[in-house]
Amino acid sequence: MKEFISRLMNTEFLPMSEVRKIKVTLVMALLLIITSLTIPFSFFLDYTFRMKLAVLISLAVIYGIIVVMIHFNRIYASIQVSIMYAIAVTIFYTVGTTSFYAYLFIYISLTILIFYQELFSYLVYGLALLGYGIYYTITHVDQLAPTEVMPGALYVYIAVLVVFYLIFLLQIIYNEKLYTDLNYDWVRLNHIIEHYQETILTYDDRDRREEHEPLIYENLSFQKATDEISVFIAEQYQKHGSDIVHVLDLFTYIHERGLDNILENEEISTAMKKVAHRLDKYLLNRRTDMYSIVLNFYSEFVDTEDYRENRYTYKLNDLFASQVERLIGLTMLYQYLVNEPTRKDRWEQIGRVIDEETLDAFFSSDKMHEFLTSEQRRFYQENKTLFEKFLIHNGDGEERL
Amino acid sequence: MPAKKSYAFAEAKDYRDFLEIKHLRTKNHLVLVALASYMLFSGLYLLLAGYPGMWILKLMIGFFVVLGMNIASLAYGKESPQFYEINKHITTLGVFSISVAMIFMFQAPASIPLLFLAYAICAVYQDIKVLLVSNLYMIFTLTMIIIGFPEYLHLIDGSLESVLGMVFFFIVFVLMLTGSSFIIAKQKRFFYNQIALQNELEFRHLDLLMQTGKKYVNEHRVLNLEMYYEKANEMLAVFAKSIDIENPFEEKLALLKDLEKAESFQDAKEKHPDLTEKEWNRLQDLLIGKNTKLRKIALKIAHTVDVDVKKREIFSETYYKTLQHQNDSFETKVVAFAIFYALLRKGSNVIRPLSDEEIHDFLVNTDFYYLVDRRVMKVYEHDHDVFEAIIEEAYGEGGNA
Repeated sequence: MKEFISRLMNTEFLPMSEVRKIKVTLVMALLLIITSLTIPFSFFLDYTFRMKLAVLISLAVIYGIIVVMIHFNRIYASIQVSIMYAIAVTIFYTVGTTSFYAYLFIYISLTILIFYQELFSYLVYGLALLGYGIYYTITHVDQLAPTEVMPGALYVYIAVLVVFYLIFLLQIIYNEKLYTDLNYDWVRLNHIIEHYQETILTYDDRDRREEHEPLIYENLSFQKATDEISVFIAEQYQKHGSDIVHVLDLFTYIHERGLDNILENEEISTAMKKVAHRLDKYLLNRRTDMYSIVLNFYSEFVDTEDYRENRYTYKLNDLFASQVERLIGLTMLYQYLVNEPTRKDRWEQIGRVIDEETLDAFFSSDKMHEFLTSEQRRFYQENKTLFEKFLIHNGDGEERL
Repeated sequence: MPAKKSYAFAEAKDYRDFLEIKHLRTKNHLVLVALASYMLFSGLYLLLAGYPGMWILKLMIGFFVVLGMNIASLAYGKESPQFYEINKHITTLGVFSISVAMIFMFQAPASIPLLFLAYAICAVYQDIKVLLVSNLYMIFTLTMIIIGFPEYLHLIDGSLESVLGMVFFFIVFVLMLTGSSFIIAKQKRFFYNQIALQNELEFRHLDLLMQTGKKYVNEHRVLNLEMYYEKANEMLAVFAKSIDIENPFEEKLALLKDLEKAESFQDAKEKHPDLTEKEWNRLQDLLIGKNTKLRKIALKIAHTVDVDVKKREIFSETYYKTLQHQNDSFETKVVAFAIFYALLRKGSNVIRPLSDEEIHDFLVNTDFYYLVDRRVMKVYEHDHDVFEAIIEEAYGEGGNA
């Protein structure tokens, strides 16, 4: 419970899949309250005893099924079933009593849909609920809205329900668009950072070779450290903590044989193959998630300049004051890109420059918006021959043939 | 329960706030539309239902005040974002006050959902403080109505069932709304934080890339600055001639060439007495030979050329790098942490070995904490001196490999 509250309070640090799980758990907690309250309230509802018993047993069974689904990480399915569960409870109450609180269930179910923030579910189930809510209001208008108190109350009920639905529909659509845009930026930046990391690791590997050092996963002191740390942690929770060494042996073995060979090997058990597959993202023979996390963490300890307002600006126009400086900047950028090696060659070393065609295509694409204005891109287009005639050389002083 | 963690990299805070304000403006527009519609429908209903002119006038004045505040805040918010912040709270109080006023005007159950409508409008802000104000206002109003004015809900002759039903299910409804708005607000923070974090990581990776690449540039390749400036000068001179202007680039290029060689402002000042410190600082960004902004732009472009984000990649959590993937077994999570820790302690040719204190401080106190399984973190937090001892034994005294 403590742990759950802690995770709930820190949802801004958790990925979507984790948050989805928290959401469905929270909805289940509230549905448990509602279901528990339904037992005493069912005495007042206008059903036969058999009917009440059947509904209550069904609710309990479906509740149990959702809990099992959550346990086995079937989050999407459990979301759908929990929505249907809430709608079923709404129908049970609205048919069983004419009291005002039954009407509240329409809003409660809508709020569950809003909670999940899934556009498709909100459209399908939400519209169904909205339709049911309008129908219920029309058929129960005498109990819900005595006309002598408030003229046209029926229309007020319906209008408020419709506007409530529409405001949240607007919010969900807005969020959907916003998160799609933010996600696009996030994935793009992720790719770019991964490319930086690949280059950094290439430099690292070159230095390692020059100094005749072993590969990190073959380094005995590193193996000893990982073995002992793993065993120590595992022993705090498991009787046979030392069994974890087998996972580490497999980790080293994947480096030697390659994941594909292990997966194709019929002598290796399916369970072992599963573990091997999961370890793949932590391998140390290329840029993997492990290296990305290590380098991201290490970034804190990199020497960096003090914060300035334009820290994340890469557009010449926003960085330099005059047109002269911007054009000088552009010529220097072009020279660096077309003359300095920034990509891998056939020996997997940073030894190849970007070819003119690729660079030209990139300079002409919309992706350059991040660096140049439309005017600067036009300047490049109109003076492309000058760029190519004067600025392509070997950066080391030799003219390029 | 672990204490609340701070965001890693203080530099990213401004960008996070910038994203918050940028999107708050759009949300303000949405609220404005919702408010205007609320006013329009209310006015129309009051007119058609034949309510006294004075009532309509008072209510419309209320709407105009809230709308006016919104429009003014949108205008002044460009000058100071604090206006947006204040506006959120004024609008929340304003919308709820108008809804409560209408409940007192109509004195009927049909007016109660107007509170839900007020909640829906304020929920557009996705802000935890607004959520708190909304909850307090709603709980206070509903309690006041149930206790002080039960006739509004037609509860005077109502059964125990109706009263209890109203109380319990209102509580459930408010809890549901609170949970929903809370998580949605947190989710929004997650996205803003991820984007801000990626921007900072990119900046620091570029620093690391330049620092590791420096060795390569010095040992294997010389950046021929003479040629860079000579070629740029030739090209820009031809360009200036082609548009019939006096060459404005030559002098600036000569200055920049000297700045490339200057070690300090004083050095540069000796040759260029007119140079101010402000200009010196600004022009540093334009030097291609040093680890400055222009070089960062060049490296960013070089690593962006091949990046192409596919639509299916958006919302893919493959890019969310963590040491505690949901599908991983406990053993895999333990091994992943052991490798991560041992790698950071060992260091490599491009990353220096970190001490346990450095790792512990950054890992335990920032959101990097959530990348590690909580059971593993518990062991590390409690026994990190054991980790230190293991590393010393494996890597030698001081933990250095």
